[in-house]
Amino acid sequence: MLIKDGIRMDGRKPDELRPIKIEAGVLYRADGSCYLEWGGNKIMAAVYGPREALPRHIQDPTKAIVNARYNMASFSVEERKRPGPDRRSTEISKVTSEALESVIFTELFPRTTIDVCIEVLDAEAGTRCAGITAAAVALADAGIPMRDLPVACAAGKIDGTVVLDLSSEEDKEGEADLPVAIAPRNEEILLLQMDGHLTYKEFEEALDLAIKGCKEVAKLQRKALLNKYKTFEVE
Amino acid sequence: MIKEGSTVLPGDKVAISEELQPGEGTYEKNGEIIASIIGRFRVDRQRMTAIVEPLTKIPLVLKAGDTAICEVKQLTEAMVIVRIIHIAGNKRQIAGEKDGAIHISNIADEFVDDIGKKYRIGDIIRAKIIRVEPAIQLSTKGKGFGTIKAYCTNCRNPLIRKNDLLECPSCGRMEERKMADDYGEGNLDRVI
Repeated sequence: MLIKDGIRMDGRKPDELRPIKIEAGVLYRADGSCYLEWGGNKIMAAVYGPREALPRHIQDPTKAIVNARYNMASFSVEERKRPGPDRRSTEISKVTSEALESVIFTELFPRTTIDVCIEVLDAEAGTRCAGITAAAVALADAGIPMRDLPVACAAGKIDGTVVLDLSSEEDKEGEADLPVAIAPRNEEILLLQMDGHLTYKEFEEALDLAIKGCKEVAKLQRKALLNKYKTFEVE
Repeated sequence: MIKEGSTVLPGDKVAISEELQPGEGTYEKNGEIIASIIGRFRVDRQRMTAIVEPLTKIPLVLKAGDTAICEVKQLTEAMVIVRIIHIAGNKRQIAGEKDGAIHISNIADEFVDDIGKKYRIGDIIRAKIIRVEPAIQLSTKGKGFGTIKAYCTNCRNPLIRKNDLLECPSCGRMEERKMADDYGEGNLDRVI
């Protein structure tokens, strides 16, 4: 029993997000950084670069390489996770790199890499969405020119109901999970994955809900960045 | 057009194409001018362009006039090949090409006959970037520019300044270099 009378196990409504806290510019050594808490997720994102791509043969003379690295700390899950990259984190790194690459003006920095490190310190479902959201804030903090501030959020299906932002139990027991990343200005989809089964109608409903959720999260991202940089406004 | 001086984030519409041209920190898409970085919106009325002045640190792209700290990589008859490792006063890593050249005519104010008497492989030098396109060219003319740390060609120990020459503290060898006026002081962030 995951949903009863339209109220979920953690007391949320079907279209309600978990509490989110975003802070920009938390690391001194990184060019840009962000700390994000999303429900039980705790994520640190750091951006380094654009810097020289090494070894030289990986350089692209026409544009920068966006190299995101998603990593889960061994203590981030209940059962100790074996440290280092595995099949899952390699995949998430790849899809995250591609989502971020499509909004960055990579052609401005030929022969370089932009390294994005996403460290999951505490995990509770939806880490890839939280990771992309944090990475976007870190990239903006690093002053890297972007078409838009990407943002991600998941929708899913539990007990036959389409809901927003699955929690850990809902992700495990539910029927489907649909992480979506968008560029909020024109709703361009940057990442779309699905786990489980949805009918076509449910899929459309879940996608709309996820995009709605993304726009909510985008407001928080903007707030975090303005919080840090608006203080400079003197006039 | 939004209010001048307001803080904008990437993806914020600042104006429409009929009003202004896209400038630094902005781009144009579907007839709209959109910010690409975090910054303050400005209008250049002379050129009628929209500009976003960055509020964050921005990626370090080399430009003419920068004071660079370099390592000497190779000496040729007419050129010193260096690798730029740092830009004075900037914390960020360099985005893009880092290899540059100092032509023999740009090494010192006076006529240079033998490059080997001015720089040696491994020397750390301060130089000014004079051109970035099509290839990076640097100059060490002027008293602030030149070696800031040099190594003995015999035993590789750091050399110590003795008037106009450099002395190796371990083997006693005397060497000649084009020195910066603050040789050995380690001023990496001195902008000239």
